[in-house]
Amino acid sequence: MTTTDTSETVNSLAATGGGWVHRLRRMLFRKPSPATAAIYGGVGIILLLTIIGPNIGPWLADAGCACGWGDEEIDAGRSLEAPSGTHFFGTDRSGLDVFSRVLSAPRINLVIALAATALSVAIGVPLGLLAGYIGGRTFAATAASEIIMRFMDVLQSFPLFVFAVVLVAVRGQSTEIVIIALTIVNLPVFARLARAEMLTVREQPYSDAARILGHGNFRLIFRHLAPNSVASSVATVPMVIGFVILFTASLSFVGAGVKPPTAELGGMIRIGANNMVTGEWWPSIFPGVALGLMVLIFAFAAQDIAARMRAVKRAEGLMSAETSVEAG
Amino acid sequence: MLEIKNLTVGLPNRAESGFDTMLDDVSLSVEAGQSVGLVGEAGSGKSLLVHAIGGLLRPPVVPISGEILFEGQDLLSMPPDDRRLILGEELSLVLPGGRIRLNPLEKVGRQIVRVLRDHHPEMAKAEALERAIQLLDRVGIPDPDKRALAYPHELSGGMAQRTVVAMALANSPRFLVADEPTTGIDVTIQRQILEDFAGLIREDNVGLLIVTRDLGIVAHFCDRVAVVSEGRIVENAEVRTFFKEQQHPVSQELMRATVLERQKAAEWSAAAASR
Repeated sequence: MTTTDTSETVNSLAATGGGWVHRLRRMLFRKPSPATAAIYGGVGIILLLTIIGPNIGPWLADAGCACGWGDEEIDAGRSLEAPSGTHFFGTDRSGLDVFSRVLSAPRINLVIALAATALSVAIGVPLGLLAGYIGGRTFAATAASEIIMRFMDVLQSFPLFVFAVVLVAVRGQSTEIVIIALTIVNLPVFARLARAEMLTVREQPYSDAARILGHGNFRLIFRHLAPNSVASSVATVPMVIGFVILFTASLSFVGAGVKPPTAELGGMIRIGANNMVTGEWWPSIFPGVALGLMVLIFAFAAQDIAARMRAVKRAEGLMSAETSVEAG
Repeated sequence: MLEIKNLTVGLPNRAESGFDTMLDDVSLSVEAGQSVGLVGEAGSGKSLLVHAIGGLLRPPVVPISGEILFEGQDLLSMPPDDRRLILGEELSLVLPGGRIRLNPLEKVGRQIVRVLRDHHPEMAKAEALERAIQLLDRVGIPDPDKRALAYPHELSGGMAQRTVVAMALANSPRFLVADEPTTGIDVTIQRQILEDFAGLIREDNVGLLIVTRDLGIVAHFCDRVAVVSEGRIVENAEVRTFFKEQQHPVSQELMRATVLERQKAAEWSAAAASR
């Protein structure tokens, strides 16, 4: 019998959460290359702008608060000024400073993106896990699972853009409606990913093992199956964030998204688009570049996260394989 | 203690009989303090029987008729919630495969603690962990207090297998169904675990149903042996008579297939006779 003091073991077991904490830690501790560092730097800048963008933009550009948050200072006298030392990115046709609006825009874009993504994860993943778990067990359960998934098919087969525009048209133009529309659009993505993984995980031998040790359905799902079924959903989150940013901008571009004059990238591109033909390119191009960069950064972040998850899994697999050989 | 009565398990089909038979009229009983070895070729239905005992049969595979009585209660007709109070507590199963039976996202110590506290919610966490470490020690895992903090992928195959055994023993069950419990473990540790089982049978009057492909284990550790072939129990005999002479052709085939050396055959026969 061991005589070692077990209090240390007790503490370490109590201190860390489940295996996700462990995996996350291992993912984070992989040394980033300069390129990945740049990507996460970009994510950091976007987050920073979300918080302080509307405050620093006007201050940097010395243009008053022309950012769409609070008092608007519309000055028709300086409309469509070219980029200069005072207005780094010029001004739009209402005389609003494009630079400060570009710095301010990530707030609304990211808030919508994060809210819509969080909502679709919060609804879609549990729905998918449920459908995956109950599917094929009894007739009623299979029926319920099929209803959920066929409903997702319907959502997915509907032209997304038309759907969102119609929803906005029917329910009125507001940030909340945009968030709801984008949540619905992304529901099937997470429901399908979660269901697909649950279907494999529930057949894993440890699921039977948990049953014969007397674990009930609740414990089985929440402790053993769900945590093992969400990896691909997690890896997809940054991708979806990027997609939602683009989608929000598209909605605003056709006038179904965020109401002007709120600084929002798609809306800004739309306002500036009218002046493109007359040679004033700056009110559209700068928000466009900013939008592209934002989406690109999130896409790269998604790739990097997926790669890190693969690496951790591979490392675990390798360790298992090596030690198994050792054990003979 | 565990009594399987005329159990038939099948796969429903459109044929006249209504199903393909997977286990055919299986009857087997194991008393407290007795150990029965279940042997048979691959695909004969040994593991299916274990799954049936654990309530792990899934549609389309269903029990057609018969009973599995554990201390008089039928595990098959029992509501799942009642069954899970018994499983892992009074009746424990060891499923084969080792690491694949462990949740890859949880430390093994925590998983053992869970088995303990699920059945005994009043047990303090520290106490449960103390006991988990004792269990790991008992199945021969070195540095059990460190290994308790390991994730399944950090353990060797043998250590993972022993962890699975430790989980089955956690709540001191009165009956143990072990499907290939020592496959993939060093022979020395194998002996340690089997002797631990033997001790439980001797001292705590535990009943054991062990599925194995190692007739040596049967000869050394079992009282009776049941041979399964194509879903039927074709021979059920005392080990001492079994190793002297096998009645059924399948049993004879099994002996011929495993026992390459005459000497070993004699050795096993002697081991069985001395029990």
